[in-house]
Amino acid sequence: MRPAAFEYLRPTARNEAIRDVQGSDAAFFYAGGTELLLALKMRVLRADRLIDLKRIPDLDSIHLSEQGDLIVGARATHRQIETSALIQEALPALSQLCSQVANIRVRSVGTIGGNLCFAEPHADPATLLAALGARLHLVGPEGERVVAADEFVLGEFETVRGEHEMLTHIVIPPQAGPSSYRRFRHGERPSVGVGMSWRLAKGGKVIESVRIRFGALGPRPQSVEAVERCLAGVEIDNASDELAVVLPDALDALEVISDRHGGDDYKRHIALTLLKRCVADCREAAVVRRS
Amino acid sequence: MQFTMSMDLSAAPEEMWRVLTDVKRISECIPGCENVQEIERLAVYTATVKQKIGPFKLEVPADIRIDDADEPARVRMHAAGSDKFTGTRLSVVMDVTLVPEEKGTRLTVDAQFEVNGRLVTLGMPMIKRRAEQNFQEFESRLQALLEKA
Repeated sequence: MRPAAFEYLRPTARNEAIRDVQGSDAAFFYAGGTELLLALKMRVLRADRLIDLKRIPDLDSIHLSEQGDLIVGARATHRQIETSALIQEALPALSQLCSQVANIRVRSVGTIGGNLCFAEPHADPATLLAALGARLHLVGPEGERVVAADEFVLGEFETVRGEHEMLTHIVIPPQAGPSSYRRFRHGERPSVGVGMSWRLAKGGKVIESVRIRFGALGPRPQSVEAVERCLAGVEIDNASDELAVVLPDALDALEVISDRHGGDDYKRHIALTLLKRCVADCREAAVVRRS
Repeated sequence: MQFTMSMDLSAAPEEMWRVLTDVKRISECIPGCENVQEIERLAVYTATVKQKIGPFKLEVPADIRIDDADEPARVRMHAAGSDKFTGTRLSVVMDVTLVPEEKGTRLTVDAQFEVNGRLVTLGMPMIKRRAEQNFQEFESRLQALLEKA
């Protein structure tokens, strides 16, 4: 099917894009288009105007800020993030995540910002970014605002982004420990993803605190406080044993939606397995980090 | 999808009946229901139902027919319509029953709800949950309306 006719604009500055998006009832920002164009062609979505963001400079920049924050432009493609030497070094979990998104054609043009804004409930980046304590920068007619990754996704296909707001970049604070993201690979079902980030105490032997987010189980990424609590203050070598004390009961707190790919008990079981693998990944990375 | 609710109300069935057949007020209890027109009293109506999930929008012009009305005890109605753009078809069959009780009336609503079309490819569990939310919202608005009456 072909999409219905729409107007196509190519602004060269952010403020032009914000102006353009306000001039119509059904205007969408367009970057990679891997989800947007598909939805338009399927005619489940109607647009009367697309605002192509590809001519706006600096929206795909990946760099470190002076404070040591990792800045990822919203228009950075999955492939750019996968192959960025900076991200491979500073946050290998993010680079690995992006290397597993869909297929090479999608990774080459699909952007992290588009992925976050579309908020497809099985997408991975929102879950890891929430575990990393990332902040999302939005700019709109009222100016700029910053939203915690944890608060960005409201539910399936719904975010706090206003229709006239553009996601410009993601700020990931410096991590004081290893992180990991585990998921069923693309094409494996059901979709479940677990993101984990450790903050290590000085010396690198003890976990000071942990952030864990479970994705694709409910309408938005979720945390389980009991699991995070049980790992805080634990020596890295004892993390798996401490986890075993609260599992699997702690995962009962998760909201899990059954679908044709799996029932809630099966999805919980997968989440449990991935969680254990995340702990093993982080432990291994912490050992390497120390030596 | 099947939804059921029931509530005990202090007014008599005859009084409840007057409120329930005030189609304009009842339609205001349905989330997204707009522009209700009476074609024939207690027989045929039209309305527009609007729904939005993220960027996906539905606008369904619906025909509503009362199939059976047994005053003041029972109404059976059905409503159906399609969103022109996405080809999404909605249909609902609803039974409303009023049973007199010692102190007032017991109201029961049974609804059978169906969604078909391309939008369903976004995920049936999501659509089901939205329908559940709407039905809960309908229940609380209806309760507020009936208690006021």
